[in-house]
Amino acid sequence: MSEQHHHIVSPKTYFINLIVLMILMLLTIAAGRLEVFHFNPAINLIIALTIAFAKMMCIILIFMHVRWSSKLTWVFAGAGFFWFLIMIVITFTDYLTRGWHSPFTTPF
Amino acid sequence: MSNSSVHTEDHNPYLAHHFQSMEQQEESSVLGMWLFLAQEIMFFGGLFLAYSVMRAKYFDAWITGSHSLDVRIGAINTIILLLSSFSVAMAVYYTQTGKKRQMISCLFITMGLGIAFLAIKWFFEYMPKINHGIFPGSAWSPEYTALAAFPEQGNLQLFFYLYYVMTGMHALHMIVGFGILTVLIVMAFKNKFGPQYFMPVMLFGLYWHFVDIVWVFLFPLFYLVT
Repeated sequence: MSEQHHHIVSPKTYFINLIVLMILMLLTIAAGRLEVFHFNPAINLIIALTIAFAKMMCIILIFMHVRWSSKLTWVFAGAGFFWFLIMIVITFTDYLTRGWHSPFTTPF
Repeated sequence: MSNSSVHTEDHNPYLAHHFQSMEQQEESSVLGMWLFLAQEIMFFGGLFLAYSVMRAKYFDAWITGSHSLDVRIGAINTIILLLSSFSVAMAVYYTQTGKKRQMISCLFITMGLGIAFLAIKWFFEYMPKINHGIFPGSAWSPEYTALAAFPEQGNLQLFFYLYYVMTGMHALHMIVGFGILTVLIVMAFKNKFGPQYFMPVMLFGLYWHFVDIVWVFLFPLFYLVT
């Protein structure tokens, strides 16, 4: 059992990842708290979620070793998040469209 | 026994008999853990969905509620959790390279940072809020004028209901993590881990990083509503 099965990630990679995560966290706070970055609620939410998504990818790919894992692991890791996306999108097709009027029904 | 090649192949004491190689065994462990984490996404997913719908419907209450939370405490806790994720990653590295002392140190540091996170949460967030009547339900009587003056108190309570449930569930996951961490530290002292066998540390790492990811989303969603 001398051969290396599992990729060993170097401390340097982990440390750079930590620094990137810290910078992204400062960005989130700046975007959330500084007046200059206040555009409108929807854009601010998108900015906050984009940064959170970037942080999540840093954690999953580097800290959780998915970058060096098998294709099957990628599928397993992606499935859960993809399911979550489906749930959010389908739920909001309801909540965001309530009160919209169908072009196919006439008021008569 | 008659077939010596089969015997040497199975010589690794860490290789369970139903796996053909360590590689296959490790792959199975990681896949199983990700399957568990997918279940965790489904669990937290329901809470995040409830949050999203309520936020879309009662955005005014969300702004008022969010502004009453202290961003500095949230930021300090985010830093603590990111550092603990780093120390778990380093624990995995030291296990893989067979450095026992450093591995145990990293596991202890992780535990310490986790306890610091929960202590800050409890003493600087939950307790002051509960003492000032910021707790949904019959105890609800916020002493802060910004909260008390808000016209729709029910919607504000919804925000704090989700705040307590989501951050509380996150904290509960960390407490479960402490239990696993304690077992790992005891096993590490007994020389159970090394370059040949590091999967328990690695899988705990996956769990701990996932809990970190949940917080990465909780932080902007609760503390930074603008």
